[in-house]
Amino acid sequence: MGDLSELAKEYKGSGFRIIGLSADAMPENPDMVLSSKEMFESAGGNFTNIIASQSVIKTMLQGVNTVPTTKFYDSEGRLITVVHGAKSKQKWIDIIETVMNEKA
Amino acid sequence: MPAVMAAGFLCSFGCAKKTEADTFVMVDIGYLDDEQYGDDTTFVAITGYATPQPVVTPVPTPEPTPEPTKRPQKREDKQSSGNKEQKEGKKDDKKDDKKAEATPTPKPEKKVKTPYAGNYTKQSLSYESSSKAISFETTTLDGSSTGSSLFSKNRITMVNIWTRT
Repeated sequence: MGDLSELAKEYKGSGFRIIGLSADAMPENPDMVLSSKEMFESAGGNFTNIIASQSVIKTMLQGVNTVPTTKFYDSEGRLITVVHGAKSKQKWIDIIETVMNEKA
Repeated sequence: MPAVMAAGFLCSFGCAKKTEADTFVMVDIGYLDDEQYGDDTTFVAITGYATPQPVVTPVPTPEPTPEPTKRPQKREDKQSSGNKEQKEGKKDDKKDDKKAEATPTPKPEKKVKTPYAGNYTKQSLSYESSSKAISFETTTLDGSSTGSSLFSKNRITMVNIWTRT
């Protein structure tokens, strides 16, 4: 989470944005939402983080079997690519730059 | 002689009158045979007949045919039509300009240089073929409402899905 927070800061204003999605934080369970928030902040998370509403489950969480999973979307909400697993900061940079150069 | 004068006078009068009436009067004055009528007898015969005056039909002097002014008019028409066309063309151009103004071409987005543009290893990624855009509504961990508009402000948005457990 710390690496992603750094990348979110470094890519600010470049047309690239990082959003977190807490998959087990649902609006029906406020305690889970609260504990997710505490964990996110304690891990150094400094970017927008959304919770798993019904419409999010039907769209972004569709077909997600493992965590962490990272999805890239264009400006109109079209899915570009999916990356599975945790990555190092440099690996994220390689992926982000590749997507930005090939699809942005 | 007085008779002759009178006849001449009448004749001139008649001639005058007849002339006015568009007739021609012939006056024949002659002297008769002295043996039969005496020395002083003068016979004046006035024969008057109307000679039909030739009907002079006035030949209308041919008026100079006016030069055809149509051509220049046509030219003017053409010119005017040309001008109209030009004007229309200009109008069309203006319309096109207006249309162009009305429907501006989308400005290409400025590609902002990414912080690691020249320092990365290109990855082999499998891109999705589906072009269906997603739409959602949710809230952030802070409790503020948000939705699909999160994507529209950026060229690429990366969503990192994680769990607490």
